[in-house]
Amino acid sequence: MPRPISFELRDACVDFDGHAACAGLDLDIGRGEMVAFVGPSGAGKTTALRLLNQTVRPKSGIVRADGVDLATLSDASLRALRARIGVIPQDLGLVPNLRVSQNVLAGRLGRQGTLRSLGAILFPPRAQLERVLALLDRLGVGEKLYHRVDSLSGGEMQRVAIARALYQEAGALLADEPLSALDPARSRETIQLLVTLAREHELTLVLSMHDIALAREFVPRLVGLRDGRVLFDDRTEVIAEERYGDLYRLEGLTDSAGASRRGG
Amino acid sequence: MAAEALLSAPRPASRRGRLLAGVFLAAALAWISLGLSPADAVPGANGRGVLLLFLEGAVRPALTYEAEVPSGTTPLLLKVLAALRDTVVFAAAAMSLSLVSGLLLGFLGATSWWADESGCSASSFGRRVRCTLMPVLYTTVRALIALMRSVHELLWAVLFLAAFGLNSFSAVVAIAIPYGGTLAKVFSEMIDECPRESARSLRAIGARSPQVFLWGLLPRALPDMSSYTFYRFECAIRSSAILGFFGYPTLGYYLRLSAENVHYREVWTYLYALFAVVLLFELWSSQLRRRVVLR
Amino acid sequence: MTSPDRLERLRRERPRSRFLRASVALLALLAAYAWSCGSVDLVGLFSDRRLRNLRRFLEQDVVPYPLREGQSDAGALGRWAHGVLLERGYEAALATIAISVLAIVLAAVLSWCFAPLAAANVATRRPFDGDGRGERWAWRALRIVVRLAMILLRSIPEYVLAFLLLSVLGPETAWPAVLALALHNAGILGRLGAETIENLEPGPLRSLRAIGAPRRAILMAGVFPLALGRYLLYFFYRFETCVREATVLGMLGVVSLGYWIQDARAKQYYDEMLLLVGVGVVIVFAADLASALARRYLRERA
Repeated sequence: MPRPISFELRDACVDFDGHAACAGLDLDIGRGEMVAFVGPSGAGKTTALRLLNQTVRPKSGIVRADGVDLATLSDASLRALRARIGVIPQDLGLVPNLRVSQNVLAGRLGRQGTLRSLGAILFPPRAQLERVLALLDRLGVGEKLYHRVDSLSGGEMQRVAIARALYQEAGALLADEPLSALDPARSRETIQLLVTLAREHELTLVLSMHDIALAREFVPRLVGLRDGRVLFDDRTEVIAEERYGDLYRLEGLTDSAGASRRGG
Repeated sequence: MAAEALLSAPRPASRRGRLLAGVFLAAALAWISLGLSPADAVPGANGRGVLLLFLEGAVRPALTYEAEVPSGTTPLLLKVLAALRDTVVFAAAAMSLSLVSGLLLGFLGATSWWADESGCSASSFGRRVRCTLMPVLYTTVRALIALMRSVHELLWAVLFLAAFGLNSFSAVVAIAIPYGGTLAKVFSEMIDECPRESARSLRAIGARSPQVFLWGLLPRALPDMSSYTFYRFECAIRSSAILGFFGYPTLGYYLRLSAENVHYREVWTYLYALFAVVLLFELWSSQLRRRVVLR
Repeated sequence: MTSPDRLERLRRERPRSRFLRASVALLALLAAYAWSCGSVDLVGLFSDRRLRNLRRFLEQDVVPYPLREGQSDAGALGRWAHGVLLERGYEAALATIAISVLAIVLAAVLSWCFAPLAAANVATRRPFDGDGRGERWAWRALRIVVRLAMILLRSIPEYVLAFLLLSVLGPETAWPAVLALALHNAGILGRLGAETIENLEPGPLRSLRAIGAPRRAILMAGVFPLALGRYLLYFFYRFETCVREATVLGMLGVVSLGYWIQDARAKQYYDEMLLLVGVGVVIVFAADLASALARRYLRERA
């Protein structure tokens, strides 16, 4: 099993829609830890997540993965790093007209050359297909192996996205609002699944969630973000009730940003 | 209520209205500059006779030659079929060339696979090369596409006639050039306009640009690209037919001969043959749409 | 079931479209047949005689007249080009544009007359009422007839139509070209218009009907304004094609650029011919630019 990845954010600062209001983020995420970013919309959850694999570059400050400053990486090294980080974006990022098997196999694109990937996805060797099937079975969607992704339900697509991330044999899993499109029963199932899988595969799990209740129930460490700043960062058991109130209070904490910021 | 929303003029409507007014103004100017009058559109005595003959032919297309022909001439219907076959063959050959060039040039003429969101900050040699080289290549390709598209296949055919004489391959290339250009332009637009979530997520897990294109962009654009190519094939058959007017062995050649001999019933036989092919394509494509797209 | 068997079963039972596969296979076979059946003569292109022809063409015929005569300064070249353009180029170019503008507008007007008759949600007993169950066959027949007429118009190439109209109307006016383009494009725009109408959101139209508006009123106040945006996009796309066709229709005898191109070709003045083709390229670029600007104007929300 690949080693889990550790992350560091040092005074990382991102432009929020052009606002200079830049709150430096300071975070340490150790190997194999499970963390959830919580907070209201516009708090910076998705952005913080994107900093971890350099999908977003910080305007200042440093982002490190396994101790390496991401900004110093060459294109090839960045790709190699990203291949080790599984990503489940909010819109799932699947290809609707391809089959489930092909979508999952695409997880390893980062490790293959272009020509090899053509062969690997169009004519996958049996061993790889069996691995894919095993992963899908674990997630309960094995029977849909050859179905087109756009013929699946939302929950099933979610699971295919998770399977793709797992197929990557990554050292970390970043999931952006993985529960937003699911109903309450499914949501519980999914967050439970994510946490269990992360433990099984020894992954560093970083989530962004807006559902505080589920986060408190399942994720051992919570980081509260508001307006791009860390409000609290601790093990779930020890966080005081008021802190959650602080997070979601409508007026209060000063910031120079307007209320109409989009995204996380 | 929805009806009220409809009746209160929204802002885009005024743009459309202005555009419409502009269009009609242009038409009026065109009318004046061409010096047309409705009276000229009514056929004179001679013309009426021709028109009548022509309309008659529509109702009773010829199944055998209208005039005496030397014995041993292939029957009319067989000739129609042979001409139809050659027409379709030229078109198919041309489309295969255009598809290849269209895919290649369309790929190079699209921006969504190389102009990625992280911008062109010169942080690495690879990126700097890509950011200076690609825009140049891109602009060249777009200029090439525009040039290819701007000369009609008939003009290419006539040019090649002068350069090479009557040759079937040059006819195929004459069609393939503008069609390749059109396919390239439309393909590049489809690639650039398709939803990018899959491309973005593949890049986020370490795929390189060609892979992002192959697996993130191309599959999403492919349905539209295929249906457009299919439509273009139908157009190519028409273009191939017209090339016959200049001597190539397609439908147009025989059509012109019959028309010049005032055998309008034969003309309609050829026209109905074309109509049949177009109808076939219509049915084929509506079946494809129903069975494949709607799931 | 052991894993390999299960994989096999899943593979066998996978959803696939036989029709699609058969279609793709058929098209590929057609392409292969096209290249191998001998109608397309690739080798004959490179025979000695043709290569000599090509050589002469490139080295002499195509070279502009002043250069051939040994005057290789830009001035002489410019004067020659200017002469050709003044005499015929400009006027023909303008005529070409005028023909295409008029033709496409006529086509649009015609198509708007027929498109609603072919749209399944308008030309039916209870418009916009959804599935159209229990409708009389007369409506369906009407729609089919209109669609067939549009397909017929579309299947006759503009060139052929113009050729035939020339015998009827004579070459003195531009009507054969204008009508040929207008009729052909009416078929195309009619079909596209019908599709646009069918793809409209039924909601607002249904509520217009619910307040008792007669069919004609719904068309004018509801269907047309809603469909106009999309339709205009198609309209401008077809305009671009019209300009290209109008250029070429001149080769039949109507005065557009094609007429002088054909004239130069008949006289074997290939240098002039190329110059005029170049003018054609310029007006096509201009038309494409105008169309792109118009489409962008349409798409931007104010």
